[in-house]
Amino acid sequence: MDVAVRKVYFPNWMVPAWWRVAYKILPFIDEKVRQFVEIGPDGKFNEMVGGHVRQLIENGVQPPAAISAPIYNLASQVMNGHELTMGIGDYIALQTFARGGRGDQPSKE
Amino acid sequence: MGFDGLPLTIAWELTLACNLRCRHCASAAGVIRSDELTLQECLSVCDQLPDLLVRECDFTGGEPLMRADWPIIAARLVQFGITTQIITNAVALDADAVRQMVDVGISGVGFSVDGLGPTHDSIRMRPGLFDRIVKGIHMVEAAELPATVITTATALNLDELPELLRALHGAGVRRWQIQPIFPVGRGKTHAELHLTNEAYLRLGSIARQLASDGKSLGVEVGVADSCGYFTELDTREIPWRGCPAGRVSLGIASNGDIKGCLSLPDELVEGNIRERTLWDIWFDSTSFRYNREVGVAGPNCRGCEEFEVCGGGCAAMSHGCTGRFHDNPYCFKGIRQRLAVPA
Repeated sequence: MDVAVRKVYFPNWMVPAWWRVAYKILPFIDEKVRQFVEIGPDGKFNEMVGGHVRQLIENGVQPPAAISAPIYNLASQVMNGHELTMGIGDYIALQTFARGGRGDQPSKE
Repeated sequence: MGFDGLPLTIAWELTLACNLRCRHCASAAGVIRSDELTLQECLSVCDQLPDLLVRECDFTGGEPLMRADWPIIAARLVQFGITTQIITNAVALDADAVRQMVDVGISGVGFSVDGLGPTHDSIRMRPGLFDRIVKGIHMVEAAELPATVITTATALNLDELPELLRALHGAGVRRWQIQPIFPVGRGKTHAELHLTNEAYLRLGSIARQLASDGKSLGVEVGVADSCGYFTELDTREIPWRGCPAGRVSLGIASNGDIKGCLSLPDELVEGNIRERTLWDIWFDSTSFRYNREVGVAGPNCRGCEEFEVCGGGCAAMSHGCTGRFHDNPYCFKGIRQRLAVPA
């Protein structure tokens, strides 16, 4: 069941939540590829992201700097009652954070 | 900010073992690698793909059906909602294999067909194989699995492609992809198969006509990433905007080596999934530089006004032909300019 928080209709994260990732960052992507990729993040990822969004909305707890922008983006959508759509850059940042490191650092040299 | 893209499509060489020794094989397939991934390792790879938002995985080889545990690997991918297809030479395709494909949820089957009967059998060095392929197409279509045919255009089959369209249509094929021969693997040593500049332009004209003829027959005819670019000969619906290898697609070799595309040489392996996760390899800032960074145009592409968007065509074709990236000699526009052929 969803719960109202400060007049914001807060979806009961993420129990059956299906995120939509907006995949539009590379100009050459074939239009046959759906612009939106629906993903079902695993429980651990879901819990991490949902926890930060909930903490921000309910208690004003700032997320870690590395994922501040994506968490704010999601929180904004939640508070405005929009369907959750995550930019691909936000998704990569969140996944990288969840994996405990910066994935864009060279590691094979 | 690191690279912001994900590998939507994956070509996975399940095994290098093959029951044929085709003259043009870019993988020089035949003998199994001594260090191929175990089933558990393959399943571990599968488990890494959802986070990378992989949408499609195509089993290739070698001959993927020679790997007995392919249904288990396919089932894991399908479980994740990943469209999974198999490309086969049809030698090992029988009723049991088709039934397994249906059972595990395979989305389509690709068949390699390199000409009409005598030509195909000659290139594939197996008499009777063309008939076997046609039988295989009928089997998968009867099982409601869509059949796609992939044809490597060579000097031996160029002129029979129009007749091949009619044959494929008669067999029930609805999608046909044409790609020029890669001068890599065994294809490098068989010069009799290579396309001259003039033959390559003719391939463009033929493919354009086939796309039109195919439409009236209900067969979608398209060209691979290695075929193009620009001019009216390029029939792809979406204009060419650069090589997808390492940007939206990648290849997994049967020993776990990761490349942007399986047609690229082994010195361009970015890592091995036994040593690092696919995520870490993909987002390593030193990976896939040849396509993720702005390159310098080689002699074949120098001065071309399309270079900024094109990047020099298919990386594997460019490297296979010249040893350089951003220098693909197989380009309709480039060949016309070099030969001073009017559009």
